[in-house]
Amino acid sequence: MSDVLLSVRDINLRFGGVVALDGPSFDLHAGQICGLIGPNGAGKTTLFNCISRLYVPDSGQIRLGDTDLLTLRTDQIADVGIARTFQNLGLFGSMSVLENVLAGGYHRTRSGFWPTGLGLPSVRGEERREVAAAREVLDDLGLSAVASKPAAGLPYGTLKRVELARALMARPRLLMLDEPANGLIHEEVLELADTIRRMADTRGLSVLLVEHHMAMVMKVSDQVVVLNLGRKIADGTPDEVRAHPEVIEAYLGGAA
Amino acid sequence: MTSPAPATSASSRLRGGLRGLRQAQPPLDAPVWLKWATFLGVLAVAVLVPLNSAPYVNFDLSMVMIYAVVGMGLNLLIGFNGQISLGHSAFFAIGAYIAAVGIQEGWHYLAVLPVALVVTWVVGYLFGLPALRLGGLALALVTLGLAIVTPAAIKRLDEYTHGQEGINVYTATPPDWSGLERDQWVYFLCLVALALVWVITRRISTGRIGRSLIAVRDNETVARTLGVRSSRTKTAVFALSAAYAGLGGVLYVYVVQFVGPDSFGLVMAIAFISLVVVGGLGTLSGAILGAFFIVYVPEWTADINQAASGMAYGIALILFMFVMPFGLGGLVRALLRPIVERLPGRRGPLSMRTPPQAGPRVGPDESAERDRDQIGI
Repeated sequence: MSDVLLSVRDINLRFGGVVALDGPSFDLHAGQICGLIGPNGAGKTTLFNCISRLYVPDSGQIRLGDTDLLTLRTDQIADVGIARTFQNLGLFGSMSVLENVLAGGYHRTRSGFWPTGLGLPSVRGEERREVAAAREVLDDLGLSAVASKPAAGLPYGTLKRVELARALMARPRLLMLDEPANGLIHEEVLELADTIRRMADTRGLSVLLVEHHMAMVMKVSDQVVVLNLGRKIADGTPDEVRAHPEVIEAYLGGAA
Repeated sequence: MTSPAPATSASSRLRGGLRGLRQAQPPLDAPVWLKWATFLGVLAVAVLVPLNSAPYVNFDLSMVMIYAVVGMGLNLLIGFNGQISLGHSAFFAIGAYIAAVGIQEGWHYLAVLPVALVVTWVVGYLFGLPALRLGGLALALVTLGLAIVTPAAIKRLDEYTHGQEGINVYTATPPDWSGLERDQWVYFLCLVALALVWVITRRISTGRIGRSLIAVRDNETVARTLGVRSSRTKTAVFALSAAYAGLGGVLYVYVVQFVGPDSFGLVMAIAFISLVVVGGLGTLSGAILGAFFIVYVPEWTADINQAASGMAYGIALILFMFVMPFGLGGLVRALLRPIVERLPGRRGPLSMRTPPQAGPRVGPDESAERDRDQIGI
């Protein structure tokens, strides 16, 4: 098997008296897609927020390659190669679609305050390259037609794709998608699954995917990790996980 | 029978118009030829007017340009980055006093300019470091405190500032080669300053930096996950806007040739806020329109009734927040849009910028929490 890209070890996090994460550990290998599933309140998004440094776990370890993520600030996460989307969209409503996608390239680009104010040629060159790159990503995801529309007011499914485009614009090693199929109709979900698979294969991305749409997760994932009440209850190939008794229990709701 | 006749009564048209004014107005995306024509037209007027006007007119117009410089900084800070400052009159005062004291000490009047810029930038940076952690209402109150304390601090430092007496300087005399009167010379100094500030502000409000400012304003949590170090960004904008205010202070000394503590009190702080509200957030031209407002409207109202001049700002603030939260800049865009959109030669919007979704956000700093609710984390 290929190298481990993301390694999560014994993450514990409590909010007051509520145990949100109760020591889950797993590895994500480079170039693979890992589905992270579980019933509502299982701790999937909480784990996402630990990895992207929005929450600070009480204990445990998260590494990306050789980097200890827990030593970084939130704004350094993009630099080590992590991009994410948000469950209920984290787009900038007053910006156009193109600008939202351009914002994804922020961490890769260097034009600072002074050079920008002085209008140095390097700033213009960088902006030109970025606009070209953003248009390419938009084209790739079939969003060129809405490039100049303000993000606020576009259909939900379109915005989900815009957010994916912004994450790709960051050129990450690890792409974290929080319920990308949420609010999409069935055909769109399958299309999205193909897109994600294609991105992983063509761009050499690893993907961590939180999703409720089970057919999609099982179709697209190389590995599936199942959380329930903050604990990991299964970890394996889609087929292994599907047959796992505890998973069936958690999903079909065994009597308490 | 599916489409009912459009309502044409005067009152419903008025209601529709008012609703339009309350909406955010994206940029006009005018064709390039129109932009150049506007630029050359404005330039021609700006150059010809002072050569054919009475000195008092030129001094008034110089004041408009000075306030426009301050307004552009506040626009970057409040409009683009979502941070409220009510205290930029303090930085204006620092710039003015550095100029007055420096000129009195025998410095050349242009030599005080870089000193004032650097000092106000540094003071703004140092003040911004702790203040910007507060955000929202707390930031508004802290900066209001700065505005309140300014006249008292000037009086207290009377060794340098001559306290209540103030400082008279005779400065900005036109060089012989120019053949200009003092009022004209000062006018052109202000015009050059405003043009430079306009260009710099325009660049900073677009591109990578502009996007990061708006990102921090719209959703700071998400901005941070994209790599924006929001505390740095906010401090940099605060410092820059403080330097703009400092520049305004220096130019003020060129025009007025006098500084005294009572010029830089709450009245000026309120004038700056009125400028931003009346001009409209998120449009550069709004800063100029707002500056015209705070120079001329108090004069006109004073002609009607002495007591009315103080009321102008208050009434304008109430009216604009209710009726036109995007200010005159938004009004101009709303009025010109139907015309501009019919013009040939538009290249299609490459970048789009809209003002914030609502007027300035004054409230407790729930932004982080709201961001999180919004994105579901």
